[in-house]
Amino acid sequence: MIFRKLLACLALASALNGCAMMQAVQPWEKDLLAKEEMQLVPDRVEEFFDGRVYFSREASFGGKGVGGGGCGCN
Amino acid sequence: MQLTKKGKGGAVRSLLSAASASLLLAAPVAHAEDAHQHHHHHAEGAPEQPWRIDVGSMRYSEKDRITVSEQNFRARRELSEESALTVRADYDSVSGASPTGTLKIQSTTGASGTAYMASFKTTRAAAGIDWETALSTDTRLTLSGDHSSSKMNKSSGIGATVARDFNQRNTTLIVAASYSKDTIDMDIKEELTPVSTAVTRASSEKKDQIDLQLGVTQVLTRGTLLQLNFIHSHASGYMTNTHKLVSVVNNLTGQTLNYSPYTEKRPDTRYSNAFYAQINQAIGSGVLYASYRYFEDTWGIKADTFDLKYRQPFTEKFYVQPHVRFYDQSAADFYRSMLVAGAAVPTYASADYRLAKLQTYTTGVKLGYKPDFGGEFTARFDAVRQYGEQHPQDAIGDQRAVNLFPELKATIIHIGYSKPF
Repeated sequence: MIFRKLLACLALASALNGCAMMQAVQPWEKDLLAKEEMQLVPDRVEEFFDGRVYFSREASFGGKGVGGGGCGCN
Repeated sequence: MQLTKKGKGGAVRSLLSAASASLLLAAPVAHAEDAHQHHHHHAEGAPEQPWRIDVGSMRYSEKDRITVSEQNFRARRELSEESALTVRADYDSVSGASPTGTLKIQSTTGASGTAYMASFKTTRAAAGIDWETALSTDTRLTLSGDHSSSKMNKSSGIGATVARDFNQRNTTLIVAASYSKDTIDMDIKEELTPVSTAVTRASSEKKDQIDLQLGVTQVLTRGTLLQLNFIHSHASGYMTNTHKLVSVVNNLTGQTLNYSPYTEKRPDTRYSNAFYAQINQAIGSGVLYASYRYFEDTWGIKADTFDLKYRQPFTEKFYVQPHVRFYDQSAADFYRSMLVAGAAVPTYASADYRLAKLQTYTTGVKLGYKPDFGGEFTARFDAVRQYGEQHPQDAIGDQRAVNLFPELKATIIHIGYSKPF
């Protein structure tokens, strides 16, 4: 089941890649994307705090990336 | 930890010495995003502002329950065009009351159905480091190390992320892995036995976790960025919560009188998958951030998380960012709001409300201000409400008449400052 999901992700990535190949955004068109507020994580401290709050109050976790693990608490 | 300019070898030595000194720590959220955070539109040539400092202070406060005060600091230094080092530090203190999992009704005269609370106070310190380097013109490696320590819990972790650009840097593929090891040093009681007679069976327990990530970020248009992540986690070891109990009730009346609550027990393996999608969409001068996460694990938990933020600048210096978040989870297979006296004791059982079916609603707003002397101040307020099943199906007798999942109300206040220089 995991492998099927991985394949689905890869297929989606390839499809996106192909889609972008047709109308790739050129380097000189990346003025908006270069802005700090367009980064995937514009405020890493906020991301960190919220991760801690919801990790300790809900049963699910993760999704944004991998990182060393837990707080040592259950 | 030195942050002065040095060669790759020096940085590696720094990382390794820090790791061997166990100064590195694991936080429950990822840092791997740093791998591509700074890279996408990296200016050529020597960095004009090699430093970036982020500081934040948060107060998370639950009505009638716990309060968390937390300080976070991170400093990032570009060592060369090809490498950067980030050090992170975090300190938090938690105090207040937390539900034990036990029920309050002891006899028919019992008034309130709210759960028993246990007060506690603890502090925790954490530190971490990330070292980023270019493996080629379009491939980057990030190595991370983390360590955290509180009186009873210690956690150490390492992680590696490889990110590779394709398609004129419009596509980035990310592969990452991390490993962490947690230790709990406290009296570990015999599981699923009456707490009044449960003996201490160990003074320490361990848990290991491996996380694997496969991700892609894709520039869709001039103002649209998409991220897709798949993360598989495997945790093994002691995942029971030694502070939690399960009430035992009379099979007809639901009363807890004369029955000692039981210690809880959770499975010692947990496989989980998270699928995460995020879109950043520039709209005029504003930016919309929309994300969705699907989570499932072998404990029977399935969860959906929706998050929406919209950042609207009003002047060059000031912006407002409203925020809504919705979360919904199903209960763990072994979640029991109570055990029945005389019935067979299940293999696993926990009455921890965080493993119950529940929803979380968050609404908030963040203000950002860029002063003349540089950097950016932020102030954020979020209101959090959590709801669960007030009358679960397995409630018996008198327990049916009372609210077994009191609403949780909490606020998050966060003040921060960031400055590149």
